[in-house]
Amino acid sequence: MLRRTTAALAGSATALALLATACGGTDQAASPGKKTGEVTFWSFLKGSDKVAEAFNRSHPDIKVTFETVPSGQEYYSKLTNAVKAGTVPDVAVVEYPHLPEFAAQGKVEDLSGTLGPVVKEKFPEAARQLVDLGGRTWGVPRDAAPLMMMYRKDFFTRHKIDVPTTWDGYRNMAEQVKKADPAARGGVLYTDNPGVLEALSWQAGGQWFATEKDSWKVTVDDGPSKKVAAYWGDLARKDLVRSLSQLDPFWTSVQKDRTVAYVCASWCAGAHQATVPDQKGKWAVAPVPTWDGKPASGMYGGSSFVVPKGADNSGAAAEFIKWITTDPEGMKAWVSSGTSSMFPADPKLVPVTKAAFKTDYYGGQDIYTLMARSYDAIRPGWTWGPVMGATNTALVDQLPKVADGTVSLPGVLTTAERATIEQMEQRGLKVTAP
Amino acid sequence: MASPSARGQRRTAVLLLTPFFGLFAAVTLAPLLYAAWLSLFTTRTSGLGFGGTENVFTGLGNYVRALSDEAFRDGFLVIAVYCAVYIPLMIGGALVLALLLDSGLAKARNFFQLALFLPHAVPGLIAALIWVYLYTPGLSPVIDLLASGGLDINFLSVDNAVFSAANIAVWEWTGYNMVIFYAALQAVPRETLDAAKVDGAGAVRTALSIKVPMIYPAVALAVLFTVIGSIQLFTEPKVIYNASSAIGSSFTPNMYVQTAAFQNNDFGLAAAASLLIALFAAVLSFVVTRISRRGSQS
Repeated sequence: MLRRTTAALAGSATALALLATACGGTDQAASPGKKTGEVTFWSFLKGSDKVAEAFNRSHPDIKVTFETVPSGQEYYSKLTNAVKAGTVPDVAVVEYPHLPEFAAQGKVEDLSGTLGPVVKEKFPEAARQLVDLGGRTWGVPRDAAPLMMMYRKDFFTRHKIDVPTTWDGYRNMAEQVKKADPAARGGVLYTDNPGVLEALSWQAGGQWFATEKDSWKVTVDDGPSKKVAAYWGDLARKDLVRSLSQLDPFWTSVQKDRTVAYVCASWCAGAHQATVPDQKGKWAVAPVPTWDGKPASGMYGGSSFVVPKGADNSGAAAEFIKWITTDPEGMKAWVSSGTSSMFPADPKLVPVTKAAFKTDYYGGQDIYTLMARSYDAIRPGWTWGPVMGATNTALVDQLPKVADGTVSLPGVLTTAERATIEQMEQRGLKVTAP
Repeated sequence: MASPSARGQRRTAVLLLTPFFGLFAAVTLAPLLYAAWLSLFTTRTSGLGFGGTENVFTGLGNYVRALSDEAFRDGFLVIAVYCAVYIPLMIGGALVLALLLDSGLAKARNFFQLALFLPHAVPGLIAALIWVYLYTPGLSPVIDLLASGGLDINFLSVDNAVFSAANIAVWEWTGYNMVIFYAALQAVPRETLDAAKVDGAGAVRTALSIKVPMIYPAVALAVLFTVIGSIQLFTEPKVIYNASSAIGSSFTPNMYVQTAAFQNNDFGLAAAASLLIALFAAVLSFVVTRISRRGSQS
């Protein structure tokens, strides 16, 4: 009860502050071609309601109506169907891996003219490469999701295990963990989510997709990605990491002290403490290991905002998108709950999120500095593919068979590449042979 | 020249039949035709794809694609394995239970009838969720119990998934079919049974030689419905798919259709595959009907 009252008080304090800025703000009134009217906004991200509220308070001429939607594949089906049926929202969230598919099917508006300059000015290459495709801007980044490693500080200290900085070191760590406690493992290979595997391929210098003039180059099983796959496939087969579904079984294993380290991204710090609150003080965050010991990273997750094709009010929508992705007040609204460790794609906004996220759970560790380093180390050149749904399905259909040796993980990449190219050719996309 | 009464009769017939044919056209024929129409087109784009898409006519291209896709064909194999396990177990179980209830041995008949029927009252989706909970290692008390007895079993492994799905269906449908069989058994004339008893037939003999043949039509109908239902298998594996990924996205033909439509946005392929499933179900039900008719005549 007390907590709720405090939250409410804090909420109204923010509201007052926002009201003050709204009254004092003159730059919207001065901007030419003022955008007004109603905007519908679809999102499954935490804090979306707060963002819409805060925007409405500071922008009296635009009324944003927030509609919560499910996350995951159902959402993308819903958005696709909305485009087909002509019942789209004006603003919608699309995670980076899905953006090229939406753009390639003509389901989102080309934002080059409206928000292109904003994207160019505010975001570093690491985020820009995910929303600029074929020379046009299709979405605006909200958060980046640079890789991190989570580990049980208490377990590592008790068994005198060093925090690994290289992947060789990570294998040693996994062996030591298993030796120290036969029930515990130092990692996980998700059987239902290829996201971490993709991010690690990215980190190693893999490049699954690239555009060359008017055709796509697809190399899901390129050298670096195969190296990563061979490494993780081996760890899984030797039972040094568990093969688990990302949902309950994984979190159960964390809860029961059976998973004492795992690779994740910036946002996981918040998700982790929300899921296993009673392990407070036991966990710490570390930089993700690399192949050569030099910083390198990729992204696991992250979201952008788009204007779906057929939106009624794309002018006001662009205004709203700009505010929620690049304005400090907008960013503040996203993290107003204080429990989100989201890392803004616009590096200037990091102080806002850093101030909002309490790191008591991690013993006051300065995790945002680690994340910022990981963000800087993201390898350039990664692009998601135009049929990512099919690519991911092909991967997930095979991942559960890796641990028992039915398939090899590098082989899974080859299968996924074949399925991807097949689907792309079926759609008429031009693919150059790898 | 129809007499006034015949004309009135015809008018009544038209009046009574219109709602049926109206609804039939609106909710069965129209969607079928629309699916057939969709199945002839495919969405194409060009180059990098950022120039938009267009719908092009492909004739039977989508049908060829579905039939030549191993994932789609494998779905039917899965259904075959599923049927081979599920139908004998479920129909056999329902029959045995119905005969037991009908025999003089049964006590508290109404109670058992209700208790056995109860699983069917649970919506399929909820049932699947409950079972997935029982199947999930780390959550399931059943697995813990078996493990403590030295039996380590993973219900959600790649090999076991089809049996786990069949088990959910057995749990759900045995009681339902048992009630149907039991009702059919009530219609068996008592004098026939009395005659059998006078002739010296025991309970088992009466059941096998008198009762089962007499309710054969009911059993055949249940098998028919079960076969058609099995081809449409979707809920149970879909829930297992979401929970564990032990089974693929195209595990059954219906899941293949859903993946094609909502994951790959390939509505043409999804429509073609749906019609193929419908055709397959129609052919199969014709075959089952033929076989069972021959069975009842012999």
